[in-house]
Order: sequence, then C-alpha cells, then structure tokens
Amino acid sequence: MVPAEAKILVVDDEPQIRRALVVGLSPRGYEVKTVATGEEALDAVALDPPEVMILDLTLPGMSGLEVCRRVREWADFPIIVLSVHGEERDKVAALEAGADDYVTKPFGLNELVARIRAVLRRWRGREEPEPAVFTAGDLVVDFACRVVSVRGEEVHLTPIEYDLLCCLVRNAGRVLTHTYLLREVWGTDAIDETPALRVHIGHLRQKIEPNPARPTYIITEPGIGYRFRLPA
Amino acid sequence: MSEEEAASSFTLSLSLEERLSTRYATAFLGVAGATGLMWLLRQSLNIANVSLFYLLVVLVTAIMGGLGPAIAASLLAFVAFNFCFTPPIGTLRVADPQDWLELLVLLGVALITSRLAAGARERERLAREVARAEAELAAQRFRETLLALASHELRTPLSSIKAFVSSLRDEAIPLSPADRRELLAAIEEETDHLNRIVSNLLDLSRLEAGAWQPEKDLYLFTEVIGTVLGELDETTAARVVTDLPPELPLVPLDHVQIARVVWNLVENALKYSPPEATVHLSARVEGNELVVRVRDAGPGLPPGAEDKVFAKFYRGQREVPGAGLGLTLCAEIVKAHGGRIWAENNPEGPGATFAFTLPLAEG
Repeated sequence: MVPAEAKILVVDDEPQIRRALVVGLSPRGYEVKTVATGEEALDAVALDPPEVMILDLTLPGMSGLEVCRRVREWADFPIIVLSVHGEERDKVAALEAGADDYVTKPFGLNELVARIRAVLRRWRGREEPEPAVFTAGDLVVDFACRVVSVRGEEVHLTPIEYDLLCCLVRNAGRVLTHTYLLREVWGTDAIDETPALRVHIGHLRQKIEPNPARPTYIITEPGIGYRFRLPA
Repeated sequence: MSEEEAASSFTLSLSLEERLSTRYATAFLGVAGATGLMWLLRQSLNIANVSLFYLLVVLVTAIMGGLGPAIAASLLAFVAFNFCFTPPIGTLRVADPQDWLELLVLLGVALITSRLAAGARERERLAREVARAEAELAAQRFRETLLALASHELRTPLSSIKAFVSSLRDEAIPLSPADRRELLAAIEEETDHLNRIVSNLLDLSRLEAGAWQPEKDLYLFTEVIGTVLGELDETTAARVVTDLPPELPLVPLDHVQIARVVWNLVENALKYSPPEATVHLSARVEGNELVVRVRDAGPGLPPGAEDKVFAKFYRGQREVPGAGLGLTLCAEIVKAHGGRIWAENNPEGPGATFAFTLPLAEG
C-alpha cells in the first residue's frame, strides 16, 4: 500500500462540504477524517493528531476561531481555515490565532490541494537549515551575499525593501498579515504604519515584478496582508 | 397592572410632570430675569419699552413651552409690570385702565403664538413621519426589486449548470472526451458566475442596511488594480490595457470595496466589448480627486441611458445578464466613499466609458 500523503482532519458542519472533501482528497492519496463540530475536532485531535487540519470558521457551538486557539495551546500541525466572502476580519483573527492559511468558499479543489501541499512543505522543512539562495522563476535572492537579481541582473533594493522581500520569500506561499510584516521588518506594533508598508511593497514590485500592474510574486490579500506566490 | 408596569407608568407620569414643571419654571425665570434686568435699567427705560420686553418674554415662552406656560408668563409679566413699573409703584393697584389693555395684549399674544408654534411643531412631526414612511417604502421596494432581479439572474447560470450536468450524466448520449472537458469547464465558469452574483447581492444588501461602512485607509491605487487584474486569468488580463502615471498619490479608500467597483466595471466592459477588443483602464489626479476611467469597445449606451445606467437595477441589453446588480453596487460603494460615478459614450469611436472619482483628502 502506498503511504498516505498526509492525515487530514476536516472540521465543517456542512455535510456536503465534508463529502466533497472526502471525495476530492482521498483519491489524491490523503487520509481524510471528518467531524462536524469544534468540540468533536478537539477530541479527534487529542485522540489522533492529524498532519493538517482544515477548519471551517463558522461552526455551530464552539467557533472555528476558538478551536484554532485551543489547538494552538498544545498541538503543533498546520491549520487551514475555510471562510466565506466578506469575512476579512475573521480571517485576520484566525491567522493571528495561529492558523497558517485560509481558503475562501467556494473554492476549487486544486486550490485547496496547493495550499495543503504548501503548508506541509513548510512544516516538514522547518527543521532543515535555510538554503543560502532562494529561487522562484527569474527571481533569485542570495541571503549570504544580500544580493537580489531578476533575469540574471542584479537589482538594487533599499534595506527595508530587502528585509521585506526576505520576510516574504522565507514564508513563501504563506499569507503574512500587515501586523506581522510591520513587526518583523519595522519591529513595530503600530498598525497606522500600514500605508508606509504599502508604499514599500509598491517600490519592491516596480523592481522585481515582470508586470507591476499585475503582480505575480507579491500578491495582495485585500484587507489582510501579502503573500509571496511561488510559480506553479 | 403588575408592579413593574405601575412603576414604569409612574416614572412616565413623573417625567411628564417634570417636563411640565420645567416649562413653567422657565416661564417664571424668564419673567423674573426680565424684571430684574429692567429694574436695573429703569432710569433709562421708558414704560412702553418695558412692556415690549415683557412681550418678548411671553413670545419666547409660547414658542418654547406652549400655551399654559405662556399664559402663566403673561399673568406674571402683568403682575411684575404693575408692581414694579406702573405708578403707584410697589402696589398691585391698577390706576390706569390702559394697563388692563396691556394685560389683554400679553394674554392675546400668548394665546396666538403658542397656537402657531404648536401648529408648526405638528407640521414638523407630520413631515418627519411622511419622510420615515417614504424611506420605509423605498427600502421595501428595494428589497422586492433585489429579490426579483436576484432570482432572475441566479436562474440563468443555474439553468445552464443543470443542463450541462444532465447531459454529462445521460449515458445514452455519447460524448467525446473533448466535449466532456468543455462541459465541465462551462460548469465551473457558471459556478464562478453564480458566486459573483451572490457576492454582489450580499454586498449590496449589507451596504443598503448600513452594515458595510467603508474602512478607509491610504492606498496606492496601482495596488487595487493589481488585485483586480490578478483575479482575471492571464488571457483576459491581457485584454485590459492600463494607463497609470508612475507617481499616483495615496488615496483614502476601502481596498476590498473599491476593488469590487473596479472589478465590476472591468468585467462589464469586457462583457460588452467584442471578444478580441481591449478595454482601457486609467487613473488620473484631477483637482483634488482621483478619476478612474474604464473605456470599452461595446455598442455604447442607448441615448438617454447615461444617467439611468447606475439607477438601481437598470439593465442594458437584455441578453447580457448581470449588469443590474454590479453597477448598482458600484454606485453605492462610490457614494459611500464620497465620490461620483457616471457613464458616457466615447466621443470618437464605439463604446462607452464608465468613470468614478475618489476624493483625495480624507473627508
């Protein structure tokens, strides 16, 4: 028997969503277990911790956000939350409570699988030493020499732009909230610095994006933050 | 009557009493104040002016407090006038029959003014009630139209999905793998379409209920455009030609909402333009606002439709679904940002331009 890609726990109160995920993920080699409530989710985690949890935010009883917080108190595996259109605040709250990523309903299964793979890759690679050079498409970041190049040409970045880019590529694939970026790069909790963050991101895009009007590396997550997207 | 009800009705009557006594107290204080003031100035005042001053107090009391306090004020004013200013001073004896006329005038003014003021108050209350009823009716009509339009717009993609799925499931119909792929792609497209209608619908009703206030922050407009173009696939995005000056100022806006506006306008422009035609998206600073224009190469607007197109739920060509909700949503969001939105036919060549403004200064 082929070993499972990963054990996944799906927490959603909608039977149709649970069904769709079992039907969609099992043939791709994932071992899927489903529960309908937050309370059941905590029991399932205590009994047999999954490698990835897919967690709906709007659950009856204990909310998805609460489940996220409780799980993070003692368990260590990636959490991807499912939310619906127009719930930016909930998404930010979930990310700040320890969720690793979110997917907005309705979603395509390919998108979800890509997110699952990305969080697993990051999670499994946590212990490995960081590579000295990061490459994505025609962008190369050499951490040791602090050199960034696009299509073989060295690009001059300001120290802030360089720190921003490093923070984004070190978390490639993951959405980083404005608060996180401000804390990591500026060392500040001042959320009113967000416009400055946007201006620096704008400059960075001018320097590294093939088409800054339609960014392909640094993606804006409206109302939430930024994500460095790895080329497919 | 339960104890609680009794208690609450007691509070009610008490507060009414309190209000009444406040009004009478104001009348008393008004007259007392006027008397004191004129007593101090009595050397330089002539008696006719004194009575005019009392008249003013009675007038104000009638407007503010109504009939009862106004009559009280006129009686008090008469007594005070008589006691302090008309000879023999220090007595209430009325020496001159003219002074009785004074009292009659004061009482008459109190009566007439308080009736007038009460009438005005009543008219104001009625006007408020009419306005409230009208708003209610408009909201009701809005909900009904929204529901009717939504069910119409939702039914189109639902019908196609149902039709596609039933052909796929019908084993009697032989389908080539290419046909199957095409049907499945069409189903996915229609599902996305459904999702957009539902999002527009949801946003529109949240806006209308006042539950989706813009959360403005300073943004580079380029970033909003990046979000919109990023939502289009590469081929479609290549049909959108952007024209942006390199240095646009930061604009106060709600990213999610304004991205929805641009997205709806771009999607609309793409939908109405011939399949290979490009759509132009530009942003400029003009005066103290940012002007965003989306120019299409479609059939243009029918004469007279330029103003109507953003009216609630207007739809252009019947065979192109979905314009109604999208444009209405755009208009509501732009309005909530303090901007303007309009549409006009392109002066040269075919097609129309949809434009909106955003104030640059936080207002």
